[in-house]
Amino acid sequence: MMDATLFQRKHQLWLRIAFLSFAINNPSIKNRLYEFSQIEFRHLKWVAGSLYENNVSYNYERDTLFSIESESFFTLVRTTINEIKSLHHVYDETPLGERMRHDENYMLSTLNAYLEKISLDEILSAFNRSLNWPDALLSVSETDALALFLFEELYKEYELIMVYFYRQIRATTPAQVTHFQDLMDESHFHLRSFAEMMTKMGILSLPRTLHSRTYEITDMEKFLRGGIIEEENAKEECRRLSSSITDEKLSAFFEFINYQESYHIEIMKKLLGEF
Amino acid sequence: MHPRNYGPIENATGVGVGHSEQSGEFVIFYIQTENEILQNVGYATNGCHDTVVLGSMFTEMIKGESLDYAARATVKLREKVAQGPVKQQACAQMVLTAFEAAQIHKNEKAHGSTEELHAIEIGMKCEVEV
Repeated sequence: MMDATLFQRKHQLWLRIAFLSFAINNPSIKNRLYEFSQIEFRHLKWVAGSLYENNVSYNYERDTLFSIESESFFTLVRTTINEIKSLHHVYDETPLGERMRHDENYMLSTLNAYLEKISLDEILSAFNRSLNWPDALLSVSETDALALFLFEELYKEYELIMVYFYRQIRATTPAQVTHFQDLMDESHFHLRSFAEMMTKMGILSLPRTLHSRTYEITDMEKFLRGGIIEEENAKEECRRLSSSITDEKLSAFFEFINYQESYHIEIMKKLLGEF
Repeated sequence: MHPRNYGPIENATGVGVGHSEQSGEFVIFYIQTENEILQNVGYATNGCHDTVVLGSMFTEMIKGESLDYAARATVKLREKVAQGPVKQQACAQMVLTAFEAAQIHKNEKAHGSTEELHAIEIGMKCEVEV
């Protein structure tokens, strides 16, 4: 049945699979799981669209016990399998319900195949709180600045994805849909990049839950103007990190992100013309 | 990051918001009291890391304590952060204002108000220091 509970569980499943992909080191499994998470995100969008069309309210709350952390890859795979199986009992017989079931049957076969190869049961270091950047020698202050930046930005990217997601469902013009999609795609990339850096430092964790005041935006013009200022601040943070971190590769990465933020501002300006 | 007491609580007797119109940031504070004792507290925010940490610390300080104790803790925390950077003062102001708003909401409800929450705007702005 399409209701707020299904939305919450699909929201959690998207996060579960995405964060599992961020946590694992095996590149081919990582990429496959990330693709699955993106499929789940599309399911979530279609579920939200259906709920909105039918005037059913939903929110971004998560189960208080919801967790994505474990040292064992197989433990997380088993949790994911169980969650998908239990969801199949609540899908209805609509084309969307059928689509989700078919997609996830393929995911289940892939996940079960992982469990058959014992060598894949990787010990995950993503959550071990080592707080060490393995690719270069960073000073304590550089490491602290990097960790703080990653915590802040992981939350911000998640918040942005979910705000744009909320607004895209309620978009009234094709241009709005396109611009919100572009912004979401960009934030997905940033979320993945920052989360994988957190994995390297052993500090991967879920972004905190979003309160409805965060995403139920009624004054879009004000929100976009505030968003442009926030992007400017994010650019400044990237620039500051890029100049304070002595490692060349890391510094170049933050410069790259900095220039991406510049274009977000342009997309937001285009959106401003839509409201 | 695993902040303590993050998120809404069940059967809240007071819900308050401290927010900045300028930046769009807010803290929402939930209290559940019985005989003037804070049986449970919770908070949520779209603010920065400092706000999250201060919210976590403050809720830990007052959970299970009396409202009188919480009032003294509020003064102490305000004094403590007054010695720190302006940014942290704004973050603390947002947390403490939300707590104050939750108490006002609790009292208004006791006098028959049916409002979902009480909101107070703060003048300070928490933003990234440049």
